[in-house]
Amino acid sequence: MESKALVFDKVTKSYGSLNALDGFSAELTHGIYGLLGPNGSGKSTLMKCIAGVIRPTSGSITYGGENIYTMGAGGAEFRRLLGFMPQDIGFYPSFTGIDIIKYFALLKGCKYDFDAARAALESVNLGADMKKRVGGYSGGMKRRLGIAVTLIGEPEVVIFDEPTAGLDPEERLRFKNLIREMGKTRTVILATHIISDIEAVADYTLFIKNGRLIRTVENDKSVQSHADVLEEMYMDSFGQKADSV
Amino acid sequence: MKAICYELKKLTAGKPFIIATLLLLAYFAFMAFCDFDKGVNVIQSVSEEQSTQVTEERLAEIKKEHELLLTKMGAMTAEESERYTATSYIIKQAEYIGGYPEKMSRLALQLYESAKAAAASGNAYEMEYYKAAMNSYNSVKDISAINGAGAACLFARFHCPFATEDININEMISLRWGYVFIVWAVLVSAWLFCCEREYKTDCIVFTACRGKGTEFLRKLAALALTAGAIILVTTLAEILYAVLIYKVDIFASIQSYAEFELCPFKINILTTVILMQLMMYIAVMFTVLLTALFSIKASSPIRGMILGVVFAAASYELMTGYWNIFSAEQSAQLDIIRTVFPPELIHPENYLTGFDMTPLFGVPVPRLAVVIAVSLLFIIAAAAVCAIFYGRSTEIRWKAKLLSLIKSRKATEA
Repeated sequence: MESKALVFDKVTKSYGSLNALDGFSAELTHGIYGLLGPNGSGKSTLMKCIAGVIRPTSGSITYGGENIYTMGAGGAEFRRLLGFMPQDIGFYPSFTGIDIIKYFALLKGCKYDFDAARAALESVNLGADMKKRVGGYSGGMKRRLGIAVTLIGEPEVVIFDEPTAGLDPEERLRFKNLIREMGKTRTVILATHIISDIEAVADYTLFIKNGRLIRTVENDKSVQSHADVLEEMYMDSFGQKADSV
Repeated sequence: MKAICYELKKLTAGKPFIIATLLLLAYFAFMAFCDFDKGVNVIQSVSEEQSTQVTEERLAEIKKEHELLLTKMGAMTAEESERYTATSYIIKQAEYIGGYPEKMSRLALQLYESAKAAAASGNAYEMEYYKAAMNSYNSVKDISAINGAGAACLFARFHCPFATEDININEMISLRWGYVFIVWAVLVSAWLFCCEREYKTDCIVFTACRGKGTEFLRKLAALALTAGAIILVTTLAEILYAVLIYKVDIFASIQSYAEFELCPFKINILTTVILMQLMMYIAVMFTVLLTALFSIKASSPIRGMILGVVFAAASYELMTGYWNIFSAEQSAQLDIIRTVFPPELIHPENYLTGFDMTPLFGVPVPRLAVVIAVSLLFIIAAAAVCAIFYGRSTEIRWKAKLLSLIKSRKATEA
């Protein structure tokens, strides 16, 4: 897959006098990027800007040199290359797991037959519950379904907002392995409070405070106690402790 | 089509849809079984009484007047004769339609008097109007006067609660079927247009490449199909009712039913039922699009519903309600304007019980055609606007959440 960069150039998102993002600039290529910052620091706003849910007040976001909001009609071309899993994800309770996969595949312009949909569900260990109504799924099952939906159509840019919240340790491990695999060929952005998640999979950690990128750290996965280093940096950057696992 | 099926599944599985549709069908059943035929029969007898008030003497007077005019015209110069040609035409037509069955002579007389007044005032447009009216009625001259009691009951029951001095069917049908259907349309469409926010799927749906404008159009198609299915079922029920309960000859001309004697269209009772249902369908789709416009930025289905109901009610009341604040003359002028607005479509009697033309570039055009054209234009324009802006509301929800997050962070820091 051709390597394209996702470039943020002085991205600002204002609500009245308040800047949720304040001149955020960065360049992300293939790999896994962990976003760290306290509540209200701008992580989710940044991800929503990439996903096109909201638009920046000023600045630009480009992918492969093209503005993501003008790629195709209204940014439809970029959205075809994007997988986005928001923090508060929900599904239609009357749909079955299979319905959900097929429906979102349709929205993403992919053709998923029954077998493809089943494979997507089995990749997140939901194969046995695929014909069950989503209204009967537990919180963890819904998040796994969310991950499966995010990966529909093999997106080039994948955004996860608090993906492991509500997952049990076994599922968390499975998810981390999945992310590692994806990071080899895609740009994966991972926002979480859980430092160990970032430490385990991310190639880079981006520290965000008051809507600004204040530090970028290349993670050294060879160091066993890298989580401690990140924890120290977190304390140093934000003056408070990060959430534990 | 597959994608529309998913929208239908979302719609029909939602509690608001189930409750609203059950209430709607319950109201239809109430209309079908409620006993108010007595009132309808009174109306029928009153209208029959009125129609026999045109006496043979009055028709003889018209004929005499015509003969007198012809004598006068014989003594006129060519110039004078030309001036009287219009009047002559009217009198000739009046004489012609004077030969209608007794039941239709009320129409002949009414047209004759109106046309004579227009000719006397020299109003060219009105002259054209009545000329068109006379030609139209002459084309349905062979109407057989049948007993319209069955049709009267049918239309009064399902569509037009006619009021007379003696009885007001509105008192028995406290709510028109059309109004109930409109409220159903608002509730159901507001729910469908906002359900992504309710189920928290908006962020995924609106970030998919086919998740904004096309998603809106699929929802619109699902609503159009659902409303269409209800219209189809109620139309069939109504036709069965007409044939089995009221023994109506559904292929008889609509003009043979006294209340529709002045209907400008050459249609039968069956076509009239279908036309009324089609008008209702257009009014419902108008409401759906009106609600869609208000749902674009609504952050929850409840807000969409409230906004939809409030604005639909306001616009319907404005368009179809009474114009008490205006004088009678102003009201009459405003009536002409309001009857070209879509909400008026739930009042079919306004278009089908009188020769109702409106000037369009100097040509008399049926007002029904104008209101349908206006409705379709609105529906297309509103659909285009919604398709462009649908999915933008997520930002509003996010803004509220972000502001509360920052507020709590500042409070913690403090």
